[in-house]
Amino acid sequence: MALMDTSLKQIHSIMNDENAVLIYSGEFNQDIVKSMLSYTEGKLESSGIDDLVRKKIFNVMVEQLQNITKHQYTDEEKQVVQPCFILIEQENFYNLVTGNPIHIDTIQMVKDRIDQVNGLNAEELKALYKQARLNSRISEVGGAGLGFIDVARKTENKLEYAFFDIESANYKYFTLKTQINKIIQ
Amino acid sequence: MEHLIIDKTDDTPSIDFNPTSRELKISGRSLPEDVTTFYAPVLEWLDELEESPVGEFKFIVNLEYFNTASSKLILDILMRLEDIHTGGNNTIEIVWNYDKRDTDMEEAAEEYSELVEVPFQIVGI
Repeated sequence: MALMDTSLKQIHSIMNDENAVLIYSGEFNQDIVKSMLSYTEGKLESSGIDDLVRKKIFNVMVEQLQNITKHQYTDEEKQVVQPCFILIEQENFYNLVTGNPIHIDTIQMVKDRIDQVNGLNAEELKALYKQARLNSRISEVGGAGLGFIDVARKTENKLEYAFFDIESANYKYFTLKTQINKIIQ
Repeated sequence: MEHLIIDKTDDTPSIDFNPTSRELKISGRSLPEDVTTFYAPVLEWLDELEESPVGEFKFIVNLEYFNTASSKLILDILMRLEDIHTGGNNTIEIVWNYDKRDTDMEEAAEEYSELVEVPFQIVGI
């Protein structure tokens, strides 16, 4: 499993080189999400972080973690790669990275949504969010379809994504990286 | 009408809808896994209020945080309040309190206030 080797090496290098607040790989559910949130809040509070930055991290983490919780499962017999979440602190910002398997049929839709969000400025994102919320219906898995727009608005940074090949005919591994500035304007 | 009380948890807000004091309060954090189920009794209570002529009500928001799915349900609540307010039986005033440093929450409150035709106060505390 070449990808796994690379990913593990990457994770180890992240753990060694960066200041990791939280690294998790495995099944996601609401209880695990709550534990991750309360652990991170505690750790950040004791680090003396600005309250507003902590709140933004909490906001973005909830959307990213609940997104994985809702979309982590594949219809394949064995899970080739587990979903993951990484929060690392860097000099000027926090990086939040998620990874989860994604069906090849939904890749284009996800790509289009992120590209759309990345192409908009703050005012345009606000207008899109308002309109999308008015038209939104809560999906079967409990989402409102507003997560990417909300994350882009809260972080005020572009969303970085990639789709990696895994040992599956129908799935790729979707990674999403968001960045929260330590200094809020 | 009954007094609707739902205690807060790690991922759901407290709800305190008191027909006697005519104060409807929502406080805390809202990030439930299943927003539809959580907010169903709240929306049902408001349906009942629409049918019952009682008087002036205050909807008081003290939310620290809500996720995007909750944001949709909060819009549904506010639109229900607008129906009640414009429908004639009762009047509604919305008071949205937020931590005055939290500009994300202030902006969220402003956006809601632009969407509903109900007296809407946004108060930084």
